[in-house]
Amino acid sequence: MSRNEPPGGVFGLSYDDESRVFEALKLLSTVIIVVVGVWPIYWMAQLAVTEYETVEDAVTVVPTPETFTLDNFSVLANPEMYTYMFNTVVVAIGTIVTVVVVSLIAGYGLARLSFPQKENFARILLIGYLFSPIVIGIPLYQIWQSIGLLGTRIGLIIALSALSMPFTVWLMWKYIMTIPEAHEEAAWVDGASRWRGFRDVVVPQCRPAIIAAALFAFALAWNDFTFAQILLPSTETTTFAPGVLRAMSQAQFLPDAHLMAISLVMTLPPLLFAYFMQSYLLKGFQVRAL
Amino acid sequence: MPDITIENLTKVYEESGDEIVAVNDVTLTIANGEFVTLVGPSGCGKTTTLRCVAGLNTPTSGTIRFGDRDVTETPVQERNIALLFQDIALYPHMSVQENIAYGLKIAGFSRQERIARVEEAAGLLQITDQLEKMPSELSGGQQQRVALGRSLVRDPEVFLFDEPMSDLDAKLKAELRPVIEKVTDEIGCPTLYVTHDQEEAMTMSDRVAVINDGELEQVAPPKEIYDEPDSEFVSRFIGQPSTQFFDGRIRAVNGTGELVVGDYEYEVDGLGGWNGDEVRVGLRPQHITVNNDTDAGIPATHLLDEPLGDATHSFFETEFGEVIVVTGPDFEGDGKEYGLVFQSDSICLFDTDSGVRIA
Amino acid sequence: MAGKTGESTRARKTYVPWESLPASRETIVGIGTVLPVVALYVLIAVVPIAFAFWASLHDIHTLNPEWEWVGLENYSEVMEIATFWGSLWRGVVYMVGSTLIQLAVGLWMAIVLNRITRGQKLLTAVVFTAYLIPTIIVSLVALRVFDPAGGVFQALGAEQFGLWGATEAPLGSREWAMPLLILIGSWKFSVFITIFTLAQLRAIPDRFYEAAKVCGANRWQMFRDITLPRLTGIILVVVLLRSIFMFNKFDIIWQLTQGGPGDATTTLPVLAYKTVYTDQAYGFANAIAVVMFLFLLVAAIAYFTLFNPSEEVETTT
Repeated sequence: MSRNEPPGGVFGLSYDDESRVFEALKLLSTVIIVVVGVWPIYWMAQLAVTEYETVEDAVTVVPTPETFTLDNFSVLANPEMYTYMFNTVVVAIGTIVTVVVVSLIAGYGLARLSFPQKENFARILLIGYLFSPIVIGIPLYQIWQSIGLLGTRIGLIIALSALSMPFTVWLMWKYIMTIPEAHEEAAWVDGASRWRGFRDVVVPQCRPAIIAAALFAFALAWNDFTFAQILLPSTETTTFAPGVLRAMSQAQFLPDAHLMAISLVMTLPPLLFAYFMQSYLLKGFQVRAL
Repeated sequence: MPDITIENLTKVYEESGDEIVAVNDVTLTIANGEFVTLVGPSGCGKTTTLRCVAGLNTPTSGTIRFGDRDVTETPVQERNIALLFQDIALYPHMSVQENIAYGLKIAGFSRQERIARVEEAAGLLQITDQLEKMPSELSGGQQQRVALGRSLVRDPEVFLFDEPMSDLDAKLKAELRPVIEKVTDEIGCPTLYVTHDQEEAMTMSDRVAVINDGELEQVAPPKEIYDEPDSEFVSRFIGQPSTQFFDGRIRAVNGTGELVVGDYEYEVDGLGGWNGDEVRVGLRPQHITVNNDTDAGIPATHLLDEPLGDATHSFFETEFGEVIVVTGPDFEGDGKEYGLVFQSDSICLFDTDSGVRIA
Repeated sequence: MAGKTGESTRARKTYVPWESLPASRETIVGIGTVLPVVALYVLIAVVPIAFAFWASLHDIHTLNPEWEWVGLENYSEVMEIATFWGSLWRGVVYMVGSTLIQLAVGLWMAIVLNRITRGQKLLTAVVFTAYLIPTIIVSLVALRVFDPAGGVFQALGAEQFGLWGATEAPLGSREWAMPLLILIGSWKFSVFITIFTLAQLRAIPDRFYEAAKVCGANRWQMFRDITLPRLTGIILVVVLLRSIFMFNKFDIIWQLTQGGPGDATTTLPVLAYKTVYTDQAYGFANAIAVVMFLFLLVAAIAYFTLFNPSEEVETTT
């Protein structure tokens, strides 16, 4: 570079100044993200430990010794709320297991076996992204009713699993492609059958993809409102999201502080997953899965 | 243990409508306990041949037999072979111990038996202190030893190597070669070793099979392959530096033939009955000598020297193009003029079209 | 011939008569691996959409199993009613507004999270949590803070900025319901874009940046010439996905406003739902659902032809 050119940094700053500006912007951004990202969770937490009478009509920022209480968490013992949470957990686990098993097998087939129309099958899978729970749910209501799946957790698990498929099958497919075929061939040479090689060599190496797929399925199931609202119409057997909304509209004694307490409990599993599984998650998502 | 018989093996791939012949009518027998190396440039069909023997590819036609057993259609799992892969292919999620024992586990050996056999193999391969480590913690050479151990414990009927050392540096290769020979001797089964490195082929094999464009060019012991190549390709591929080639012509003189290269005449045996034919003349750089007198041989201008310590590779410019000569360790050409003298008893002649050896 | 003796000694353990089947073993096993997915798809997509189309040709009361054939009448009615076009328009506003905000915020968060050195894991976890938190909880918190009785944002907006009256519920106002829906949704769903772009950012090897520094590139040039081209493919994909998801969004709208006040936040999914359960017109609702699906299909195909994001994704690996 010739000497009379201006300094090369952004806005004609020198590289050192540019770095300083960049660091400042980064710090500012971090602060904003922390405030905006953490604030709702903090707010939920502080309301959850404040006496419910106070929460109903005054703004509190931090719980003071006078208003601090753990009584709000008694709502967890409420049999209805307990059922909703239990159902949500069952549906989430069922969906995760179904999604992981089905997408692992399909991903393996796509990655390692050749069969007619394979590429087209993979492309058609992507149409699955267009499925709206409401578009599917409305007809599914009648279909589930006629085959007896309406109001069952299995029915919801099937619906949610199908919704995860386009993403998770592609993820597994592309991830298994990154595992050298020689690993499997080595297992065959060692005498392992195709199934045994898949189980002993491919599946253990798919751990990041399995965790990413499981998290995706978990997010879907834990989040789901629409399908549960339509497919689990009876109040007693529904999941958390529609259950809470119905309980609120039924004008029972359900103060906001209690809602915040139960919400906080429902937030903990995702928070823990996000903290401990994030490296797997990012590794899984790095694969071009779409 | 049986020998391996490959008969008329042909493998044709179809790629976007085109047919590609990877292996064409290869016939080869590997006796029990014999170490045969299949050597050739990349894409010549050597790995495909090996994968057919392993059962990872199915031949388009031809048969493969282990002893009397026709295994052409037998799945790889039932062939009782050992195979070392180019990328080593240790199971990354298993420890060294588990890697070596996996085949035994499949075969249903007890835990104690597995441990005993792994210990024994590890001792032979000098990796006893590595057994608890994961493959990613090992160096390339150690990984290859583990892969050897994996094969060793299973006592295979047939041992196959698919360029196992292509990713290692020269020093490690030299270190591993005796280990591989020790292991194959220990097992004592027929061994097929695929490589593109002619040095590996020459140093380890009982016989070398040179393959080019899917066809076997020559199968012979290393010394014979080097001294008596059957074709121009074999002569060019085996030996370092490569054989030097010139265009020549045969002239009938007194009932026998005389080789003419440019203005120079050489007496070569076995040229009776030839006259006026164009030939390719092959001569190893080791069989050319450099004379300080330009009139003593083909005039040559010295270009550069590559001193290797025990010898020097010297490059000369001549009327026939650039010529490499292996000179003594102290040779320094200094860009001067020399005369190149051919050792006429070492000259090989090849057909200009087919490349087949004439004399 | 030696080959013949070999033939006779060939011992093969076959439990399945693969040889006599019309296709090769690999083909059969291969198709077998994807059968569960196909079954799920047929059950959850093909059958419902076919059913929806069939139902849309009938006049059906939601609670009454009597189906009355009306042909395409439902469709012509869908095209005529003002609420359909109004909902479509509001849906497009909601979709475009949400996607743009989410793209900007999501990208920005990914870049910041990729660059910070201290507390990266914790902050990433907190950001990811926003995506994993059930929508209902986001809604509950939002309802709480915008509640005229003790809601902190309601109070701030009323007292500090004068955006709404002291006792007015912003989520119940025609003016504020839609913008607030977009903002609240963006808090949660921007993270979707962050996750995907962050994964891509982590996959860019440092040597590219080192090479650029050697060439004297500044930060902006490095971003423009190295980072952005690597992100283009994934951005095109996530924009498509987010647009589809936001267009289909039902849960957060229903939870916060139930499409109200009036129909100020009624998008097509809300309209379809209300048609089933409020208007009890099951056949008509199915017609809306089919139209929605076709609309998305056409839009997605158009998007793919315009940008071909899958190709971008393949080639930038």
